[in-house]
Amino acid sequence: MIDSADSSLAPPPPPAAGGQGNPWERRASLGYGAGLLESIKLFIVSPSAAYEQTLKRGDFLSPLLFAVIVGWFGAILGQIWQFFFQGSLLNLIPPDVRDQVVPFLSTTPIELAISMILLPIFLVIGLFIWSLLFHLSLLLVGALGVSESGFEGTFRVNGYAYVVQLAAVVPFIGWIIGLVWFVALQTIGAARIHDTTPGRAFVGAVLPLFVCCVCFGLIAVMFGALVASAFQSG
Amino acid sequence: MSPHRQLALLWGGVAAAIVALSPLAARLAAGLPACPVRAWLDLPCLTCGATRAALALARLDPATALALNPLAALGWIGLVGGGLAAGILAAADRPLPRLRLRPTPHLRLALAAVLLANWTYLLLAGV
Repeated sequence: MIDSADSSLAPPPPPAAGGQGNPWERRASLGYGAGLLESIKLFIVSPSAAYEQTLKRGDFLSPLLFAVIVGWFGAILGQIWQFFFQGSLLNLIPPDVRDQVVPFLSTTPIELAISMILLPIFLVIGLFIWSLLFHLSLLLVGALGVSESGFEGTFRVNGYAYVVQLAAVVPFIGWIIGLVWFVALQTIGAARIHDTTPGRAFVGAVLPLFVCCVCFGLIAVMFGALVASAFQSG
Repeated sequence: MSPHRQLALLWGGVAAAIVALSPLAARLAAGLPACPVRAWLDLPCLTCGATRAALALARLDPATALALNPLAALGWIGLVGGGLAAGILAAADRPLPRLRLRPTPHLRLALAAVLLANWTYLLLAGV
């Protein structure tokens, strides 16, 4: 069914297409820790160079593992901020709005522990579904005309773009930074991996947000406006 | 293992996880707010009914799911059904069919038409 090489977390075989592999894809020689940290640094400070190095094809496991690790770490950072500032932030919100917001926040240690355990599963489901939507969007805007990597390329772009989860280190507005940064990374990555124009890649990245997340976007704007007004009035 | 087989196993794992988590679907969805597009404009957005369709599918009620949002319901059915099939084939080391969508203008036009038709349905049905 699955041979021994498959069941390990082994890095992909030597590159068949694209660059030489980003540091995470070269973790066999660099080491897992160094490969991860160097990749995170590279995708943060020089995303163009990072995607230039990233393999266009090779495996699904590398971007998947990267996304789960950084996503889980980002969620922990977010929970830490929530732990320290949730009370003071909620006090700034009008009581009627607060009642609507509170159910979204983990309140008990047990709920927190369960959410941390289940989070990798949700990250994998989210990455897969969002990659499907992103790929369909790229198809719709004609960004896949000369692509060699197909869905795998889109999955790789999204998986490494999950580095934006670390934006949770910024309290309150980290998710806004992460959202903008995510679109930027998707644009850079798709343009490079699928050999398309940045314009098509950008439209392909933004389209699912409008189609699928217009509701959540509006809720975010409403929530942001309420918080801002609370700060001003306070 | 080839990337193609990795994709099949990944898809299968995602589908299995969705099935396994479906008993929690109602609890997870309970925290979601109502659609602000509908609240402000009194019109359904492109994804209105998708959450309710997913919940209906979790209750094994495909007819209700299709009535709520046909495209979302078919998408969920394809995602889970296709994933389970792909995962089983890959785990059994059986040959996997290759699905390769050529990005032709006709395909792009068809995709846009499907999205538009689904939204038109949502508008007419008042979902």
